[in-house]
Amino acid sequence: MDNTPDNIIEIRNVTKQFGSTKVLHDLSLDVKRGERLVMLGGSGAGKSTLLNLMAAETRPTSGTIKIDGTDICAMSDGQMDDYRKTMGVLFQSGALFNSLTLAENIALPLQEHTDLDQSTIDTIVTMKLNLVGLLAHADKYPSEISGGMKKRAGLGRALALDPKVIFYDEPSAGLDPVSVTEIDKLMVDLNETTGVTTVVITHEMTSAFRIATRLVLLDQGQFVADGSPDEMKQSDNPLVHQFVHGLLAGPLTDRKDTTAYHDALLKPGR
Amino acid sequence: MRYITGPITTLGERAISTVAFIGQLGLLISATFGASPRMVVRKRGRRLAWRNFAFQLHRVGVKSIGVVMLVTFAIGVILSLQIVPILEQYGAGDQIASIIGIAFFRELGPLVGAIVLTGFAGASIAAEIGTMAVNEELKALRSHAISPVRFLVVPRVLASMIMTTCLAVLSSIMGVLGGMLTTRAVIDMPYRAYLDLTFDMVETTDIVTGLVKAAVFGVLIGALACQHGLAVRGGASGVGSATTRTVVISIVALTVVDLGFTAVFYMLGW
Repeated sequence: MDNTPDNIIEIRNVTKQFGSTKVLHDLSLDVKRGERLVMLGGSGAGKSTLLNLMAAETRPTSGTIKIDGTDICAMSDGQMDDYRKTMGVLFQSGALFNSLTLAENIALPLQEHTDLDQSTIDTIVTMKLNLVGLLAHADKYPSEISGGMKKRAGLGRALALDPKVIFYDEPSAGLDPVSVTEIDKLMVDLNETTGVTTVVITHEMTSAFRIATRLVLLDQGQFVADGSPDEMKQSDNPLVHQFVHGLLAGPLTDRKDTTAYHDALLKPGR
Repeated sequence: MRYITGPITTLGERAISTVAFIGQLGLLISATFGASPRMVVRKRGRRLAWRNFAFQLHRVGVKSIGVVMLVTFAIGVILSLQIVPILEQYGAGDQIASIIGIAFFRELGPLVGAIVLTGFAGASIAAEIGTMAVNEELKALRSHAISPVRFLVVPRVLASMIMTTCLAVLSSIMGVLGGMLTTRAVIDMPYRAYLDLTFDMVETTDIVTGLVKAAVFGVLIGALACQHGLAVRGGASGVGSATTRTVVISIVALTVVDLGFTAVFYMLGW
């Protein structure tokens, strides 16, 4: 994988283990500044774990993760908080604070981490709401808006402190096709207008190809493919081919069937 | 062999989890009081912190006032109805004033107020924070470098501590009032005589020890509710179970701590 100085994220030999279960195996990945990287993978492939590591939610068992040249794994809790202020995360559900209006949700990081006066904060909030197309809904509570609007508001909040990187956790989950297209377009527009590095995890192929300038496929805690959307579509790797085209027959399903069957047969006391 | 080792293993596991739980509670309380001064000193986010604190005072205390008043008034009436006839047999019916006065200011006021508050506010705090955990709101807070302890736990524990103390005073007054009205009706004891006897018998130590207990109960209720809420996993059923556990464990903890206080005060001769 490329290793130019223009990399904003550099992951080297990262392993993550929960108890005796190894979720990520010796992973290495570079994310270029300003690119839109989509991480693909089936359920349990390790996508969310990797995103949590990059977003400083947890620490790896071994390996290093450098963001803008600084190893976040070696940071103290205080330094970790400083790092978190430079990146944004859009959670699967939007994760808006239900007791606050949309405007208050976006204002929260500004109130907590800046010395700006209230009128400046209000102006920034208006700009962010406008950016995500929710200006008319500023005073609504999360319970009063649709799923797609919640995600857009969550994105507005993630943008509040002008992050260098935005991580999207399954942005299209639970949305209707029109809302998915809207969110995808918003992500691309934001990346093109602000230059913010965009890292998305998803298993929605239509969405992935619409967003990505580069895709990686994660399987059983390891990267098995890395390339442009066209390269991925034309890949002759059977695993990539099956995943990208959503085929029923292929190594993913073969492995699942045989493993589960053997496990069931051989498990004692069943 | 399993019949022998099984119960011992279970007992050991329970003991370890109980000690770990108490340890975590201690750490949470320590972190809460460590972060509390920042609510006053910190310039950033102060307005929101105070608004949040005022809301918690209202939610924890003000909303509980009616129920606490009703319950403690009724207990005052019941105690008077049960005890006055016995005291009358010894010609000491008027001593009910000192019994009820001391019982309420030292014991029943703080304890009953705290138990009502557990059902009222403790359960609601656990459910609220638990729902936030399920909706990824806690992850969102951390991703914005906002400590859930400072943002969520501090205002709730402090509000619970202050309002339990206030409610203890109110509960004691209502208990005495219930006793006074009933004693007047049963043995025609004048209100003035009842109050004089109450204030003669109830000393400053009784009031202070009662208030100290109430404040500790408040911290316990708030911290237990927050701890259970923060630990919620597994969706709606996790929230339900955290709510139930909060109420049950809080009532047990309040009683045990009250027992400890009473034993210590007894040994100190207070």
